[in-house]
Amino acid sequence: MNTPLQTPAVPTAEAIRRFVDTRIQPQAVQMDQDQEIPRALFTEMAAQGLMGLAVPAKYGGTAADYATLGAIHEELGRGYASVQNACTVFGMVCKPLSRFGTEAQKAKWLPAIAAGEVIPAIAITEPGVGSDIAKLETEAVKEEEHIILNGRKKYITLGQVADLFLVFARLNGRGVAVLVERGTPGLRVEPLHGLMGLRANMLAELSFEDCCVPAENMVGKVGFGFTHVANYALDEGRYTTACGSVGLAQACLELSFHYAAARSQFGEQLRKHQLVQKMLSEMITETKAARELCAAAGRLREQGDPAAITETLVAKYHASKTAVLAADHALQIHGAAGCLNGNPVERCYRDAKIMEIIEGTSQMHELQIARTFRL
Amino acid sequence: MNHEEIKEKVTSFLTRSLRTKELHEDDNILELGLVHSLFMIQLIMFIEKTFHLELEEEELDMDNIKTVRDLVVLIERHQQTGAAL
Repeated sequence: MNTPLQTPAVPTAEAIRRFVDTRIQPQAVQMDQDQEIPRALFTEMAAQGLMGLAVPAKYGGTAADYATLGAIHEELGRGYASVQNACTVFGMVCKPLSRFGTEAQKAKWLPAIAAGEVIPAIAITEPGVGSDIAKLETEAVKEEEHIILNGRKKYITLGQVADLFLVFARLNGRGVAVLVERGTPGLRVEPLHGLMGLRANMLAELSFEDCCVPAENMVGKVGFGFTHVANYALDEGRYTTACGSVGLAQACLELSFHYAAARSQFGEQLRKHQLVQKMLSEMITETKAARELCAAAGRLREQGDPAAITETLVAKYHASKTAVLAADHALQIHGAAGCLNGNPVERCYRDAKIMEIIEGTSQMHELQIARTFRL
Repeated sequence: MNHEEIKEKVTSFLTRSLRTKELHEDDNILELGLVHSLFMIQLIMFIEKTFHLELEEEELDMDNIKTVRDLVVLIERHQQTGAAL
């Protein structure tokens, strides 16, 4: 793929806010109902610099600093969580590829991803293995200059449309990460429909049956797959998911403010009722707290402080719970109106719960936070 | 940065990251069971940012960097070869 290298400007949160308000939010209901993000929107997002946020400038990316990255993901989460999560996936592929990929891999894929010409996906989860990645069953065998993959992956975000998969497998018992292009013989992609929330994530199940790729497609050394590459990806994904969750909570808050001002019961606006005020106050406080935790994690990440890993876990844990709380209160404030399909609050309620599951469940976060504190 | 400063920074990072009170120069952090699943990315982050160097892939094998001494040798080798960024 011959993509001319450009160095686009890093998008600002203000520019992305406008883009979200005009191009993402108005389409959110439709994307949720269609269970699809239109390819044209990916192209528009690439033009905004959103596909290259985790790609170094020398490969045509925008390489946003962590404060900017967080602010942008908050805006995307406010607009539509599925679009925000798609950008998380881009980061989860590009960040480890930038760090552990060969020069040839980086030169071939990163500019095309940043330009929106190639949609990537990360394939970790399997039908029998979710959180416990050290137990992955997909097998890789090295034969001369090739790697042969056999196994299955499930719940792969963007899997339906991805052009490139970063696949995790086990080679002689050790973790490996391998790039597999769509259309490779032996790779079958089956769409998964009917997700409760983040319905436009375009999930797929992947089957590898003697799927043969060049050995040069391996990202990092044998044995680095889980400890290095996957952890790099998941750590990046946790940060942007935390920030996206703050945006989702903010959306619930804004919708609730508007509704509570517009609707009256018992002769006064909902916002004047003390029990509604209690819910709004909780939403305000928890959203601000989650945003501060994300900012703290972002500062440490920018400094390269190893404490950033734990702070990111804490931020994602709290922010995803905040999104659930805010969506629950928003639905309560909206009453029956919020329960109707097509109402943004109904979508936020479904989307919020997924934030507690993706990039590590809340329970896995509790365990990992405890482990890093040697509890 | 001289040898003692590097050693002090490495020891300080390891005791903080691995939540252990004391660590001698040749204590094997793998055998002591201190390493958690996120340690490697913390370690990479620490070395590259603190000492302004970029590690090669071969150097990121946990089996070769399991003591304070291993890490100090690795960092000093980079400094001597001028590999620091």
